[in-house]
Amino acid sequence: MIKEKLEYVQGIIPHYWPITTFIHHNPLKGFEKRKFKEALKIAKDIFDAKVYMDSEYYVSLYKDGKIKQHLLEENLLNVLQEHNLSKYFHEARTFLIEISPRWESYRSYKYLNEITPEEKLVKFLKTQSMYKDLDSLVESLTKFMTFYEIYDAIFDTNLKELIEKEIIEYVSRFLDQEQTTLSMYQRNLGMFNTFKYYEGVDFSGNAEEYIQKALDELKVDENSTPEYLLAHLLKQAGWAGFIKYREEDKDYYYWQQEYPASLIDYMAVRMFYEQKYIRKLPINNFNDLNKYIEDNKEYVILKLLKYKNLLPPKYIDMLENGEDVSDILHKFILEKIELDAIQIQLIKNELITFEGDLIEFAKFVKILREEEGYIWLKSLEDSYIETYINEFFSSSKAPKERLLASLVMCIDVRSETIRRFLERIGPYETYGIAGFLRMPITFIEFDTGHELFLCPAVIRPDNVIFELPKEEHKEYMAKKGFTKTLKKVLSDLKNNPYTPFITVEAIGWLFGINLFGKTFFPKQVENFFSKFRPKKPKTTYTIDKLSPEEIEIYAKKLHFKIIREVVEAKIKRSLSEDEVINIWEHLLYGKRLDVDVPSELIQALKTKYNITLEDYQYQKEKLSQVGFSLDEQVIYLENFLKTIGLVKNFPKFVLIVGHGSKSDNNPFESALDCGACGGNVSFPNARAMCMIGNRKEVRDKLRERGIDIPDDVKFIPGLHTTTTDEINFYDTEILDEDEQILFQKVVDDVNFASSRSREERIKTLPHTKTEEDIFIKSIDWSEPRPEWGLSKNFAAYVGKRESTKHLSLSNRFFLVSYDWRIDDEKASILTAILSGPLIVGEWINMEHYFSTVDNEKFGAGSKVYHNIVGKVGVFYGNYSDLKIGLPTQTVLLEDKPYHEPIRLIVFLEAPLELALKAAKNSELANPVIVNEWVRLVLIDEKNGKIYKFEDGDFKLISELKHCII
Amino acid sequence: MKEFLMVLLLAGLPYYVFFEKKFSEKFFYVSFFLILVGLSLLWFFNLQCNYVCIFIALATSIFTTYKAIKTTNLYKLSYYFLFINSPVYFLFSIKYSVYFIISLLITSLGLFLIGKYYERNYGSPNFYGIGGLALQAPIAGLFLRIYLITLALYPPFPNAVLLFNSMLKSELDIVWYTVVVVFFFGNFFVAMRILTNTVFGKPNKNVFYIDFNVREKLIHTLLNITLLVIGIYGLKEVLQ
Repeated sequence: MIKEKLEYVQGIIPHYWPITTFIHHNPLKGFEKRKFKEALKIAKDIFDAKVYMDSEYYVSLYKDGKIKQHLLEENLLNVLQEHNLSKYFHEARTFLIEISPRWESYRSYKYLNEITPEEKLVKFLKTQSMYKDLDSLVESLTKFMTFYEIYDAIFDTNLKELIEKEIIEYVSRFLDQEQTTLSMYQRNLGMFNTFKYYEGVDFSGNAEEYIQKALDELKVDENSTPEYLLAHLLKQAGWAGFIKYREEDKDYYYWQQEYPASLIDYMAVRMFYEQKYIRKLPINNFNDLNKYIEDNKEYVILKLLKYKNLLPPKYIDMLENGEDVSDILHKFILEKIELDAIQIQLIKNELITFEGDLIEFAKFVKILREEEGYIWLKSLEDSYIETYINEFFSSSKAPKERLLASLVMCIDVRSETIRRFLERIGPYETYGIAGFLRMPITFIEFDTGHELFLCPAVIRPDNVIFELPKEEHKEYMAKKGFTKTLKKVLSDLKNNPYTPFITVEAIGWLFGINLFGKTFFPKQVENFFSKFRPKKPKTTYTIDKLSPEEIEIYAKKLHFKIIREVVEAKIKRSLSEDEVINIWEHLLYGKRLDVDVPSELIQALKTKYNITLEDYQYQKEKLSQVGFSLDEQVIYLENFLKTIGLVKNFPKFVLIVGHGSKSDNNPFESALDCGACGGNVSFPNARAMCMIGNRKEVRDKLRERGIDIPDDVKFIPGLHTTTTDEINFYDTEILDEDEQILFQKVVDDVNFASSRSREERIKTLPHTKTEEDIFIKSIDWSEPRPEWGLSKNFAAYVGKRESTKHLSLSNRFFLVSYDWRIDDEKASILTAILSGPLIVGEWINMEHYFSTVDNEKFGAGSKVYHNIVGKVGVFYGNYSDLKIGLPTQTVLLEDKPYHEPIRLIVFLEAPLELALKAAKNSELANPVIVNEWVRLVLIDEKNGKIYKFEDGDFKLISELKHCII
Repeated sequence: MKEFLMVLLLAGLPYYVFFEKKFSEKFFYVSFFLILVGLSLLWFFNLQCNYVCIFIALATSIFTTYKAIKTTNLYKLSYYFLFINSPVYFLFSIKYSVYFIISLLITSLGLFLIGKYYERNYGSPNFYGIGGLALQAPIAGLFLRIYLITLALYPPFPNAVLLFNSMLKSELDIVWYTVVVVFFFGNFFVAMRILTNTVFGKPNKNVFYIDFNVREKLIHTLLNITLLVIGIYGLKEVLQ
């Protein structure tokens, strides 16, 4: 029952992925089933947050010409028509542009002595406000407040501080991912069971039963339960969001498998601490509290207003001086309404052409205040749409000669400048595809053993790729081992209660060298330390599937290795191969045991080391996921090539470039990595695809399917470091001498394009004058903004590169290559693009949007105050909510928005019927498009028309002048 | 009789409790004026007060600290600080403590004028709910910060330096220790509480923040220059 009620409200809480694989996401994802405008209105109330920028911001864009006058007027008129107010168009326009930015200046206490408010207007405003009657006032003030918050407000206690501190302390310790040296015991029991052990809770039931019991004690009525649960979740929405993520992704998240946590558990913990502190209070349930409120309504309202910072200080003085509460409340409400009335009167004086009376004017102002944010936002988006639709398409023709190279990069906005400059240098063409290349993989890097899911967060990979060394690596392993040991020793010295002082005295100065060096000479220090870092050996990937026999062998080997290590350590002698097999067969199939092994050890092998038939089957299943079958390789390559539209006229080199970021002392580094690879570096996908692309047998099969890749074409992987705009290429040893010479020209041209790209970025990065400064930013540990990342993103172009290559798009477009002429009748390619890249783009865009409009509620605040907690995220100081969203340094510049918060404008180059099919087919993209979380602009080249998707329909906005087929 | 007069003049008794509901604003002027008179009498007639006065003042200091923690009204707080520090007037010889008292009077005046600024712009000298001044009204926030840090007895701000000077030149006994501990903590807690709630608190989105006007900037700059001069003198004295 409780579970159902919690599920009903938990959708409102945004997911939060761990910061090591930062996933850009829409904080209002749970609202995507609603229309954007309607959803924002609801979310504004629930989160008590801003959802649009202030009108001053939009007016400055209007004055700069970014928002076009005729589009603002058109959108304004539409709204006025909806409310039958179109006759006041001019007044409304003046209100938006001149009055609204000065809204607060019409509201001053000095006017109370100078202007008499109209009695009729005062009466009307009162009926419209939350102050119309005391009951509704109490209800609106206590909405989404927990019991202890209401109690704090009324009785000046500090319960919230105490309760939330204890909750955060427990939750952060339970969810810790080995940041602390002393981990909490018994976490494998699950969050609530461990909690019972930790707090000594004498309760035999489960978390759900505990919540029900707590709610019963609190006397929360049945109908209010979901709202009360939501009120609790909203108190620490970041932690709740992280637990929600873990719970929903349990099959793929190691820590969740080891130490399970759920929102039900979390809620039970919250309820426990609430009960702990309120149990002994004279009023400790809602029945008594409501009775108290009923008996002291005016006093309670004043206290609630004070708690919510709604009571002006002079009334606080009156309250402090013990004046009559009824009198204070009456005066406050009257003054508030009178101020509102005077504000309306003053504004009406400026809009003298408004013919209606004051009440009509008040209604008019109310509508405009409610609608203005959306009007401005839509006008800004429409202005961009109008600016760009006539700019796309140039008369550029397909080159006659064979191209030297095609550069395939991620759709990420940061690839645009390099692509543009490279195309302008010489015989190159470029493509954009989501960094996972439509090939979701689980990647296990050499020497780390961690699984990385390299695909969008909404997809789960079926194939596993291991990175294996292909050359001698003893020296590398020795150096790594030394570094690891050194770190361990230092960590032990630091964390041992007796040694820190001596350690600091003895070797503290060594850290001083690093500290001062990195601060004052970052480049030199980086060069110095890089000499000591172990050089990774050359590696290869496990591209091919293992045969059933190999799977069998490896699965057994794993078990045999464990048995040998465990048993030999215990019995102090070596085991023969037959003995190991005998033990294994005994454990799995119950065969007779001929080796003398203690029965406890046999039991431990079964339970602790999991040497069981089930595990054997599981290991075989896992091993069967390693690599790709030949057919899979062919299909992935075909999908990749068809998606970008490269199916003929292959150049000599196909360069597939993944990307990642580089910075120091930056917990948000993964936010700068590839969003389409789940916040990871997308190089492994690029390298794996190149390895597949270079295979003869794959090309032969592909030829049968109609794509003929000439034998001399070489696929070369590369890595784009977005902070410095460098591109490095790998696996070039497959090229012969002549090819090496040709390829050197490509490398030189790419380096030139990188340099030009840096020159362009210098203009936008603060405190950056030379290319050298950009390199220093990537290694400077005091740099809070190593790059702008995806800030200022505002549009995606899904179509042929020829349509945009003549434009300078300033790293603001997601460039998705798509050629509708290659797509099939079912619009399979377009459906895949809408389901993957479009969703990733929308999440990135919405994350930036909300982090800009209200960084306190949806962002992460300033990096300066962040502390890493449990290796899962950041919070402020010693304890606070987990900070979701982006830090101010990503979206603001000197406290002013750097990112321009608008919805993602998706320019889609496809025939109408194909786009409709794809939108219908894609379950993920459909609500996002239909509910206008992105603005879809359809460029129907086939029929020569351009449409805009609005109000559930494609509206014709322009006829195409060029390229009509 | 002499002691009783001094206790009255030098804020040794919490007589504000009888008047503050009606005259909270004017009461600052009264206290300020009375302390100036008391100070002059001490100085010119070289008066000495006995331990009874110190104990009365100590009790007042503790009681006022409690009152100060309960209020968020800057007018009240500005004269509460005068009362919290009242044991100092009796404990140290006037020739050593005179500069501290002058510095205290100036900082309290500064705090009182900030209360005026609050009243004019936000309708009341009560700072409750008007947080985040450092971001929203940076100049007002800066001056308020200086006054509060000075009142909190942070070195090298003048109050701390001058108080140290008085302490270094005084004879120590158990009363001395007790008094110093009490008013040190009293000043610190009260000033820090205001600082965290007003200067660094969360801005209130329901409030339209206005920063100092030219006249206010001028007045507070003059007050701060005076504090600086006194502070330099105090430092010189300590180092001697």
